This record gives sequence, C-alpha cells and structure tokens, in this order.
Amino acid sequence: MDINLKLLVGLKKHSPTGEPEFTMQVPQGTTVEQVLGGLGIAQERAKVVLVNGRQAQSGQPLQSGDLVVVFPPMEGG
Amino acid sequence: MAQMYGWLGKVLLVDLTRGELRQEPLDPRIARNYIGGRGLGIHYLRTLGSPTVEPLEPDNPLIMSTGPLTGTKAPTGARYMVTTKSPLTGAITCANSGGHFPAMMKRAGFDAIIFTGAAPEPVYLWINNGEAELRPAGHLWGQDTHQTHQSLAGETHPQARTACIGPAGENRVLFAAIMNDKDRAAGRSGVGAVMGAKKLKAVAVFGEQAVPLHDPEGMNREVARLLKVFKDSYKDGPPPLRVYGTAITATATNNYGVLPTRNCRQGTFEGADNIGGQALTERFLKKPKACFSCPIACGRDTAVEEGPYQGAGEGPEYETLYALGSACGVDDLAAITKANYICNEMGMDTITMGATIACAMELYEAGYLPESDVGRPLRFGDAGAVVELTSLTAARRGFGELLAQGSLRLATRYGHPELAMVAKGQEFAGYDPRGVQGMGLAYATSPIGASHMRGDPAYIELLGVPKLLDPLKWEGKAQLIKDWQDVFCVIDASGLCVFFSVRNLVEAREDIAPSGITKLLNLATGADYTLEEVIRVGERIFNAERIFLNQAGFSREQDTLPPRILSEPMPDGPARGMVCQLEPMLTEYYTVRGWSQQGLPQPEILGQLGLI
Ligand code: SF4
Repeated sequence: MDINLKLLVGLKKHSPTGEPEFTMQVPQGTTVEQVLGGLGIAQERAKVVLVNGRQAQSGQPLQSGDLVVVFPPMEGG
Repeated sequence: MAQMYGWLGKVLLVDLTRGELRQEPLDPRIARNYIGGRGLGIHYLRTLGSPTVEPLEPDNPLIMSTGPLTGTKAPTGARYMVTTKSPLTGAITCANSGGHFPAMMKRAGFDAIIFTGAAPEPVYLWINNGEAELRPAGHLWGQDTHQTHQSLAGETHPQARTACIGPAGENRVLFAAIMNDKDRAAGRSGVGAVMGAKKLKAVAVFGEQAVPLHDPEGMNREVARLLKVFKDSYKDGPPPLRVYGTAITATATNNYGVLPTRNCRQGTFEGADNIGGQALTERFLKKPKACFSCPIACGRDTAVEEGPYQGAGEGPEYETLYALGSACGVDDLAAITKANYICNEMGMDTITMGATIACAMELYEAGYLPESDVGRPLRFGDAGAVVELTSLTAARRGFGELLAQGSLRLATRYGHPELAMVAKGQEFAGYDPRGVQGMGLAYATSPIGASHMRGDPAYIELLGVPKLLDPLKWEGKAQLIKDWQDVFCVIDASGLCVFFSVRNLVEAREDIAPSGITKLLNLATGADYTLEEVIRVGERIFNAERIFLNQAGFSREQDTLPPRILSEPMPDGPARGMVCQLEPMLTEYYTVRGWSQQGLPQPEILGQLGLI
C-alpha cells in the first residue's frame, strides 16, 4: 500500500527523494515505528508523529493513503 | 543596608505629574516572596494602583520590573515585565519583552521603575549609571519608534538602550505597544497607550554596574553546564528557532489543523507554506538575532527588497504571521512583513491588529459592515487592505479610528460581538482552541485575556515539550493548565525567556517542575529556595493577579470564549467536528485552584499563599 510522508524541520535529510514530502510503498500492517526505523529516524528525533493530523499511538498500524507528518523536538512561539 | 544578591537593590519612583523622582530600596521580603519581574509587577500594582481606576487616567501606575536573573549570564536572562491596568480589556496586563533594554536598565542601577501620574507635556526618562532625570520630549513626539531610538542615542549615550512608544501610543490606540531596542515589543493589551496617556515618550538607560551574585563561580559552572547540554541537544543541526524563527510554529499548527484561519472560520490554511518559517528564511531573512545572554537567537533581522512592500526591520513572528496572515486569509508574505514593520515602527501589537482586521473582514463579508464605513472593499485575502488599514489604525484616521479600539468594540458597534475572537476582550493567539483543548482553558483563565504566554499548553499539546498530551482531549487539562500557568509566572518573575526555559529548565514529573530555574535563582540570590517554594511563588503571583481581576469586576462569567469556539464544530482539518469543552474544564480548574465556582480564590488558598 502507499502512504504519504512529510518530514519537517531538518528531518528532510532522511527522505529517500531528498524532498520533505513523498509517497512510500509499505506492506499492509506496517506500523509508524517500522516506517521511521526504515528511514533511519531515531526515536528521540521523531518528537511528534501525526497520522492524518492526530498524534500517532505507539504500534499503530498504518492504512493505505495515510499522511504521516514527523517533526523533531522544537520550541514554539 | 545589607547587600542584596541578584539585584541592584533600588527601585525608582517617578511622579510624572509633579516631575519628581525618588529612590527606594527594594524590599528583600517582597523580592523573596514574589521573585521579581511579573511578581514585583502585581505587588506594586496592588499596592499603588486601584482595580477600579480608568486605565488611561493618571492614577493608573505603569510598572517596569526586571527579575533577579535579568542581566546575568543565566541563558536568556534578558527579560522584563510591564504591568498596568489594560485600556483594551479593563483587566490587569503584564507585557513581557527581551532584547537588551531590560539588562541595561538593571545595569543602569534600577531593578524596577514605577511611573505614576501624568506629565503635562511630553517627557522622557534618562538614567545614566544610577542618575535619573526627566527631560522634555516635545521634539520626539510624533516620531516613530526607530527615529526615537536614533534621536535618543544621539542625545543621551551612543550605547544607551531605549524603550519607547510610537505614534500609536501617543494616539492611545488601545493595543499600542512599548517597543524596546527598536523592534522588541512589550506588545499586548495597550501598555503603550497607558504610556502615551502619561505623556511619557521613552525611557533611555545606560549603565555599567554588574549584577552582584551570591555564588558567581557556581553560576559560571551552572551556565557552562546548561550551554553544553543545549549545544549537545542540537548535534544534528542548529535549533529550529534559530534557523526559522518562531514562524516555524505554523508548520505544527497547520498540520494539527489549529491555525486560526479567516477569523477562526477554519483551522487549516491553504497558504500556510507561503507564510511559514521556511518561506520567511528563504525570502527575507538577513540574519538571526539574539537577545541578551541568549544561545537560541530566534529574532529575525529581515528585509523586503523588491516590490510594493519594501522595508527592513525585525520579524515577523509566528503570532504575527497568523494574525496579519491566515486570520485575514492572506498568504502574501511580503505584505504581512510590511504590515509587521508598520506595527513595529508605529508601536502596535501585531496580534490584536491582525485579528481586528480579520474580524472586520468577516463583518464586511457578512454584510454587517458597509463599504462606505471602511472606504474600500474588505474581503478575506486582501493583502493590500491589511497594509493600508494598519497604517490608518496607528494614525486613527478614517476606518482606522474604529480598528484602533480592537475587535470586540468594533464587532459590538456593528451588532455582532460574537464575531470577535477574544477572551476578556483580548484577541486570540495563533491557536484555535477547538483543536487544542487546554489552550481554550488557558485563554479563558489567563489574567490578561487570550494569550499564549501566560501558561502555554501548546508546548505540551502540540510540540511535546516537556511531555506530549493529546490536544483533542479535555480530560486532565485543568491540572495541567494550573501547573503550567504557575510555572510561567516563575519564568516571568525570574527574568528568563520561555523558549529556553520550557526545554532546558523545567522537568516533567506528575506536575511540571521548574527545577533548573530554582537552581539559577539560588545561585543568583542566595535565597535558598526549595523547589516547592518556587512553585508556590508562581501560584502566589497568579492568585494575586486574580484578586486584582476579581476586584476589577471579573469572575466566571468573563472566563469564557466566543460562541464559535464553544458551539460551532470545527469545519475542516484534523480537528473537524470538535468544539472546545470549556465548561467541564473550568469547573475542574476552579476546584484544582482552590477557587469558588464563581472563580474567586477562597480564604484557605489565600491564607496558604500569604495573600490575606
Ligand atoms: S529565544 Fe528568542 S525571544 Fe527568547 S531570549 Fe532568545 S532571541 Fe530573545
């Protein structure tokens, strides 16, 4: 199945296409952690992970067409 | 008098009506019980002011206060607080700013300056290494904030630091700001209008006095340790706030669906990428700029060099990008940046400015506000209108006269107060509470009206600092907001910047513990505070502000949000279908605070805090 990813604020270097937004093919039942691990993003760097705009639960399996947004630790303003 | 550590030990009292200046020692007991900064602000406001005073009358005091860490090496020990009664809201306000003025004010010899009365003619205060004098300012009246800064550097000291008002403060725009170091703002709730009503154009300071420390070597060691931890945490690249500025927050809020768009008619903005940190950095950033003692440097030195919106200065910040941008449906970054420069030069709060134009746009599109009153069409997305109306507001010309009073008065005049996105009459920060439930409670209970800086749950609900909670859940948020509000009081009292403190100086336990701040305070002052005592000071400050609010006529009825947020489900994005569950949060919050269900602190908690 295809899932969409957005790697934000300095996480772009983990993108296989070099662009922050890309689509990836993964097997059915793949979890958020597996996707991030596969891209080489350490757990502490993936401070916030959103699936379709909602915070991902640990071990959450992804569905086809899901949008996964990841940001590193950052302060806001 | 015994030496005080962390302090110069002196408060300057300026009676503007009589033109008299007097010095008083800082009371060590008050300094201990309130830490400083925001705490000193509410202490002096309650002692010298009255909750029922008219904010623009001479008897409303204006207090500028630093904290014990202001002007020290403590990372981000850059900040001061301006406290008074707000002409925008009728509530207390305390507006915070960094830059270099606050540290220099302390080095010039004063921990706090209290202005009372009103001068018959424009004046400015000049403090040169402990010597203070009032000088005529007729020649500065009418100058913008950049010109004023320039003029004062010329006639006082080339290294003097200044805080001043621009034409907006002189014209008593109800959300006029006090600008320091040119483009840093004690921005919200009209502190600049109070200064204008006092005919006080500026404060210029210069000094070379060091802040005496209880344990200078210990402080050096602790600062070196903190800076190393900070540096190590950014091994993979510089801090996002340095690279992108606060504008980076738009990335988070838009992805969560809480970026207030078109006067909160939506929570996602199709133009968000055009007004975010990446776009700002690529298009207009000259260099990052740091406040005194700051390792982050989130300030933006920017310039727009082409097109109709040319200019140069600092910013825009995230809150400005939301207010003058997405709230107005505008994604023209050059126009937003220009309107931001105008606000800085005229001395106005960008948040209330943008949110008030957004409210006017909705009134216009709904047919409640006739074109003849505005003098032009006013649809969402009209970047030119945002720039033009910002200038008119500072001068109170044409439709700017109505905009100068903020969105609640504007919407009320046209028969639809419910369209003002405010709490206690102050415009929202850049988070729609339907998708950040805790923020709704924070807006409703903030003493100064809607604000993200009086206990900002977005750190926890959106960014995971210092821990991550689901923004769509309301359960458990009451305790969180109370804890966070009290910790923000501690940060604001100490003279530190929130941006550094929330990641480096607080710990997530069951509650949120300002352990790192406690350590710095003890090294600076020798007060030997326990962590619990410091948390209690935060609670004392918050409750003292609440007493002032209650006496000014505010209670549960005013701890509320617009009907749109409470009953119109979010129409789009990840928070679609949500409303803010304020009522159950509020009921629980009052209990957690030890307040009555009317929102009045009860004798028991006041007794524990020593406030009776
Ligand atoms: S983080 Fe930004 S606002 Fe805070 S002290 Fe540093 S430069 Fe100033």
